[in-house]
Amino acid sequence: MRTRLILAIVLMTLCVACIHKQGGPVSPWERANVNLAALAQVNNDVAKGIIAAQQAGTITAQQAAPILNFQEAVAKDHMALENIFATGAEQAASQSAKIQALLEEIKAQGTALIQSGGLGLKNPRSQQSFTQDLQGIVNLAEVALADYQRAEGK
Amino acid sequence: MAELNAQGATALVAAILAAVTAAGPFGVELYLKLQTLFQLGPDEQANVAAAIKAGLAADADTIAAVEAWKKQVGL
Repeated sequence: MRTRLILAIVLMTLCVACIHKQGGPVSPWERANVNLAALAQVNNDVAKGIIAAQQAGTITAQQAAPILNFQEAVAKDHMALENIFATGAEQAASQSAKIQALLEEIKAQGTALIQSGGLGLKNPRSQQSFTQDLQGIVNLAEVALADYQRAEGK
Repeated sequence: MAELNAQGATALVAAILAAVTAAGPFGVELYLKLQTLFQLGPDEQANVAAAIKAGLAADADTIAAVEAWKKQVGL
């Protein structure tokens, strides 16, 4: 069972790492936008998992609160990023410092929360620990930052 | 879109069932959402607009869920 679960996670990671485009290569700007949307989707799923775990009595409200506060902060930072990205690649370039600062903030807050410990419990939605879920969000923020820098031509 | 033959459909169903068993229905739900997000059409602007729309919808849902939870537990 454990092997199958690891295999499924590896397969899912490999599959979601591939962005497919009909009739041409994926541009760096598309890649940055799609990975940023994936970050929001994963953040949403993890938040719902934590709420479900708290409601099922797996974790207390006090344990859930700092994680959910982080999730909400990620959603707000991400919304600010999307609003900048929605203005287009050229307009977004003028706010490059802000974009990078928001992504760095997500990474830093997520890393600090992971390092605070006590998140080894399993998320009933993702079937992996909350630490792994949060690490996934931090990793996606890193990917989105690298994609953005590539799109910017750095 | 390519058509699926009987053998392909059987393999697809088997793969879905294996994934549901291993990752649970919510894991599969997230996987399908991400897969949808990662399948791009030929128009770059439409792809970017769809990604932004999906991202903002997820954010709004996250904020609403967390706020509702805080209210529920009295935080």
